[in-house]
Order: sequence, then structure tokens, then C-alpha cells
Amino acid sequence: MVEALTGVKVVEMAAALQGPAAAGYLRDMGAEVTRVESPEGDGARYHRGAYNYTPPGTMGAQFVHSNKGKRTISIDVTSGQGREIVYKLVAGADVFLTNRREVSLERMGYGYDALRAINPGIIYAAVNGFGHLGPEADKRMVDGAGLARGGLIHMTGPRDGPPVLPGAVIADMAGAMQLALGITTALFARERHGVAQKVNTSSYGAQIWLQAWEIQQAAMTGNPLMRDGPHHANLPGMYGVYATADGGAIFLAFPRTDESWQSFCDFAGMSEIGVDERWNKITKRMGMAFDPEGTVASQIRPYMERAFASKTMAEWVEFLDSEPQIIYNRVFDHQDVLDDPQALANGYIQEADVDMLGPTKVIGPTVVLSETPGSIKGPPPQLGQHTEEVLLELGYDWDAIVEINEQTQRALRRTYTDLGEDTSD
Amino acid sequence: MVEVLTGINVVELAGALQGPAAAGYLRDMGAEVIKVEPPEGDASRYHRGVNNFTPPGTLGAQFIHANKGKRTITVDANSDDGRAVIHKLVAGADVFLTNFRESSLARMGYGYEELRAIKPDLIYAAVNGFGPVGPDAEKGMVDGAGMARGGLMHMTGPRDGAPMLPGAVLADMAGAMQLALGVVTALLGRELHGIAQKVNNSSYGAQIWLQAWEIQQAAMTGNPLKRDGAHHPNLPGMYGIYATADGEALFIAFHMTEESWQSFCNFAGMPEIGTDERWNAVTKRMGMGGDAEGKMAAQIRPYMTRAIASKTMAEWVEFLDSEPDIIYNRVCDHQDVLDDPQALENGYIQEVDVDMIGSTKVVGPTITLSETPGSIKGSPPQLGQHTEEILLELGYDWDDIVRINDHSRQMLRQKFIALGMEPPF
Repeated sequence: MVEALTGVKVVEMAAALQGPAAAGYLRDMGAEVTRVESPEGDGARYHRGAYNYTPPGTMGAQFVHSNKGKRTISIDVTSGQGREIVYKLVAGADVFLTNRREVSLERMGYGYDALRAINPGIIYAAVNGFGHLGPEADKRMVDGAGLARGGLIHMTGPRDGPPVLPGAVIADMAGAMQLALGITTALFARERHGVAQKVNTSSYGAQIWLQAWEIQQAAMTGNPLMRDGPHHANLPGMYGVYATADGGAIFLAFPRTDESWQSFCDFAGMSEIGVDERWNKITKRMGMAFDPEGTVASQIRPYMERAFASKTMAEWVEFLDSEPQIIYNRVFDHQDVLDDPQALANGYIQEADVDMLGPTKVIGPTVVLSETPGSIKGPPPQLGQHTEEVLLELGYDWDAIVEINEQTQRALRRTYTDLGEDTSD
Repeated sequence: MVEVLTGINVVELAGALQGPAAAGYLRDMGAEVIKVEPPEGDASRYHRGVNNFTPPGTLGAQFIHANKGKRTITVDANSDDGRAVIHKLVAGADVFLTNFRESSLARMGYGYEELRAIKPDLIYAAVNGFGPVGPDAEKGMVDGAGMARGGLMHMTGPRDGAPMLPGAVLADMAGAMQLALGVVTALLGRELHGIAQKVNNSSYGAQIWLQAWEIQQAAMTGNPLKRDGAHHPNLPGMYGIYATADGEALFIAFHMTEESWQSFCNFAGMPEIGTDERWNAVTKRMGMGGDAEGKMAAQIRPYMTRAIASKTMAEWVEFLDSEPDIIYNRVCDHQDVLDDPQALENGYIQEVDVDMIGSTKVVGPTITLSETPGSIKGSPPQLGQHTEEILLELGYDWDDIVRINDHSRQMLRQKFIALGMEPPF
């Protein structure tokens, strides 16, 4: 079946997360993605993370997510032979996607001008840490540095204590999403206007976009927002996370109608609060009334804390599910997500076979198209799995392939030796 | 100058953030966006937020970000006149974009089947809270509920305390980014394959995608990650946030080379730690060695805490900026971002004139295209600013326009009365 990106060819020279995850979206949507890996493989391949007791050699979670269904070749891109192979791939590609630094790419012969000379129609898509211009265009980045730079860490944590880390690699993943958006946008422009071009995104830019409301607030008012623990810095009312009697955590936004507010107060055994003039309108409960510091709105918080602490999670869920005007959600953990009928029904969580693990739950396409839905194309590839196949397609004969693979092996051996590890294999 | 989406017409029937912010991207990239607002306006128009002492009636920060340079028309979408107007707009549109619930849209006469009968090649793009199918397809959502549902809130906060709210409306904004991605993917699919279709995404789906690494880790290992305060739950080593002697916060990832690690340890007055075998390789410092619980890696944290606490932020920044192999960033606040030469030079922060405020810093396009760069098209519009202009374009005469506007004014009047406020006319 045709998918949205059927016929689009992507060459990915990227590692870990921002680049590969973006190419993963393009793959799910039907593009052919050939990734070019170094002899030792993408660092994310064997990054095991915490509490991971799968057999040694099992692919890491980051790698599994980003690389499902891609083809991969393993070559030394710094060699003349490697460069020739990448150039041949680029000659037949629509998109060159990378999260390497552009200075290194240029040094290695993979700068925009070099590749566009080979293929004038190429979309050259580069994502980095902090943007391709400016004093820190070449600065290295990992996720936390993007989160710290964009302001999100500063905004997360208790008001009277040090900041905490938002619990996911959001700078990388939002950067990846913007890279995918930049690429599809540029592909559209090429179809529509016949323009090929370079796409640049960064995790810093994506962080700024994610926080556009909060940053715009600071820009307009001149008054910085302050992190506020279980609450949102710009919503001084009840909106926040509360503990139940049995130690569970519930997020509650607000009762939208005055009826549902009264019903909430009755259930919580504080009926008189329902008619209290300080909070008897949704705008007041959200802290949107004429109370710039939110002083009145935030006076509701101790009442809410007591209310939630008076009943168990099961009691609250039963009540709140009967009140569609009250916006809330139990604070889910990842296992809740993996088991959530809602996530399964929408295909957000699917199963795929992964080598050494068998059927495993994975993240499916979260952008759903009615006529050309995306699909998971298969397991993430083993290191070098498609080297011979791709080289044959590029016109190399078996003698050349043997020589290329020997070169790759020698490069791998050097890497191991540099790391001081056993090279007996 | 031609921009990528020049010639693309978008009709936006959406409120607050997920829908409008996605259409804001399309507008920056050159699409014509007509926003359809109810007589009282988009709820975010006058949402003032905290510590906002601008004159009453000033547009809110969320509205400014999401609606720059759009045209807007005020009609009652539930009236026959309103329906006729919107159907005429759709007849000339490429994209219908909404974050209303699909059941309401179908009831109001704006369901997919109905609009596609009017415009067969329409891209119908709908974003909601939890996905278009499943038990919670119709459930109301605001940002915090999306973050609670996806697991991010559970992962944020101290290990031995209650979860905290990540300090930005990430569920809405990531959902908006995915909606833009879905729309552009579908436009590209239409261009390449001649297929028009419906796009569905949700803030829940976007949350899952942002956390793909962490969720995949839980799926593969069966062992849930635990929130870890200043550290990432899946990176047990030094990676985290530390306080300097003068109480500032510094994020440090790790030292990529042994030389930079030794140099750091020397500067911090703990040279003997630089050669300690527990952390003398980047894999060990990151907790990627053969240490599944990360116990060994985590033992570095007290040393790091003491080291960073021994010097001021200024001393650390001076040292760390001289060591490019140490990945770090000062924890910036929003004012830092607004003033950051890196953000300014990449156009992430730009200035635009906003009514009643004057020249104001705003978030510019964070996706940079070399040949058809996006641009901010101007101030967000005042309520109803283009109603007459658009109705005239659609072929209405002045009698019709007076009738439609009178109805809008009546509705607005009733809205004020219902809220117990003095009507403005």
C-alpha cells in the first residue's frame, strides 16, 4: 500500500537520538531509510540503561525506538572508500539527514556544498544542539544541556528549592520532531516550488518552541515566572498534582462548570467551599480573574490538598470518571501507558519483533493518517545487516565488498585497541 | 518572496493552544490562515497569567505566540449563517485544522464527511487529548492531564517525594508540533500521490513520542524507571544538576575524554578522583558499564556535588567554557533565553509589534530553511479584525454582514450577562 512518503529516499548519517528518531518518523511514514553506521555502530545500539537484565548484546531502548525497519550499512566514513559509498547513496537520495556537527561533516567531505554538487535536488537536513549560527553553533550538546539552556529545568522543581530534571530526554525528542517537520516541509517545497535546500533545527530551538507560552509571558510582562512544584508557574489556581489518602498522585486541572465544582466539594466533604465567592467561577478557579499575583486563586490549594488526602485513589477515580466536566488524570507511570487501552486502541503502543527479545511493545506512529497510515516496518537492524545488499545495489562487486568489509573490520579493531579492550575476535 | 506554504489556505476552527500553535507554524511558513473565532473570542485571547501588569485588554501571551500574522473572523459557528460562512471558507481551503472534539464538530456540521463533501481534496486535521479512538477519545483534556497520562509527571520530582509538574505546557505544545507535522506530511502525501485524508493526533500521543526512550526501556526490561530528582532516571552516573557555591544551578552531562575529566578533577581540587577506576572511562561516568543498577556510577554524585559547590558560577563557567569536551550548560531562566545571543542570531527570538504593547520579543521560526525561510507575518489580530474583509471576499453583501455581526454582538452580550459581568454595549 502506498504511504505518505513512499518513494522518498533518506540517507541517515546520525547517531543516538535527535537524528535517528526523526528518520524513524520518516520510515514509519513510508520513506526508505538507509543509515550509515561507523564500524563499531551507533553508540545507542548497546546503551543498556538502568535495570536492564536482557542478555548482553541486546539492543538498547533508544536504538530500538529510533531505528525500527531501517536498513543499515557499517563502513568507515572517514576513508576514501567510505566517502565514495556515501556519495553514491546521496546521488540517489532525496534527503541527507544528520545530527553530526556541520564543521565535522565539512571536514569529512559531507558538507552541504559537497553533497549538493553530487545531487542538486538533495534536502540536506542537519540538527544540532543550539542552532547553526551564533557563537555556539558548533558546541556539543546532550539532552540535559538543551533542557538547561531553554529554561525548562529552571522552571521545574519546588519554588523554595533547587530545580529538578524533567524526567525524559525532551530536548532530543522535541528536536527530532522538529527535524522531521523541517524535512517534510522542505520536501513539500521541492514538490511545489522546485526548491531544494538545507534544513537546520536544534534542540534549543525546539525547547524554545515548546515553552513559547511561558517565554512569551516573560517577554511581555518583564516579570519572570517562578517554578512552582506540583503547579504550573503561570496558573496560580488549583491546577496541580495532589496526593490521595493511599499515597497515589492525581493531576487535577479544574472543574469547568459551577455544578461540577459544587459536586466535587460535596464529595470531598467541603460543601461550603463550592459557594465561596473566591472560586465560584472557572476563571477564578484557574486564577484568570483580576488577581495578577494569583493570591486569591492560590488560597484554594490547601483545601484541595485536604480534599484529595481524604479519599483513596480508587474513590477519586470512580467519582471523577462520573464527572466529565472535571478535567483530571491519574498520574500514570510508564507501565500504565504500556497497558493503557487508549494507547493500544490508537496504535501508540504496538508490538514488534526485536532480535534477542522476541515480541516487544514499541511506540507506533503517533501521527495518524486515514488513507496512508504509517506503519512499523520491522525490527531495528543488527550492525551492518544490510551492508552487502546495499553495496550490491550501488554496483559494487563481491571483490570490492570483501575489501570494504575488511577495511571496516580493521577500523573496528583500532577502535577496540584505543579503548584498551580485547581484540582476539 | 515565495515561502514553502505559499498558496496553501488553512481554515482554523480551534481554541487556546494545540490547534492554534500548529496553525501558527503553517502561517510562519507562508500559509494563509483564517482563524474562525466565536463572538467572545478564543479563550486564550485575554488569559493574562501571572504578574501581568499590562493594560486590561492586552492580548495574552499564549494568544500572541500562536496567532501572529493570522487573519481572523468572528462568527457563531452554531448558527446557520456561521455554518454557511465556514463551509464557504472550506470550499476554498487546503486544510481544515481543529482541536474541537470530533463529536461536537459532527454535530455542528463540521465533521470530516461533511467537509470532504464540500472539498474532496481537503486535509482535515484534528488534534485532541487522547487520540481519535478508544474509551477516552471524547475526554476533555488540558495540558497537565496529558502530562499525567503520558508518564512524564510521574518521572519528574525527587525519588523519595511526590511528583512535580514539568514547568511548561509540554503536552499542548508537543501536540501542536505533531499536528503541524501531520498536516505537512498529509500535504506532501497529497502532492506526491494525489491522496487527501484526515490527520489525527493527540497530546497523549505526542507525550508518548517524547518519552519513547524511557517508555521503550520499561517495555523491554519490565522494570519501571524511577524519577530521580536532579538526575535522569535512566542515566545513573554524574549526569545531573548541581548547585554552585553562590547558589546557582549548573547542569553537567559528562566529560567525553579522560583528559577533560582529569582537568575537571584538578580544577575541583580532587585530582585523585580523575584516576579512580570506577569512573575512568566515559561509559563508566555515564553509568553505561556492566553495572545494571548503576550503583558504581552513582557513587560519583557526592563528589560532583562537593566539587561544584566549591566554586562560584562565574568560576565554573570560565573553566567549563575552556573545556569543549565537557558537556554542560548553566541552568538558564526565560530572561536568559530572551537575551541569549545564540537564540537571537538563529532567529529563535525576534521582535514584532503587538497592539497595545508595541515592539515585543516573540518566538520566531525554530525550523530554518535556507532558501524559503519562514517569517513572522505580523501582530496577532484583534478580535473580529478581518470579519468584514473575509465576508466580502466570500461574496457577502453589507446587509448580510450587518446581520451576521448583529448576531455576534447579541451572543457576546449574553455571554457577559451569563458571567455576571456588565456587557460592553
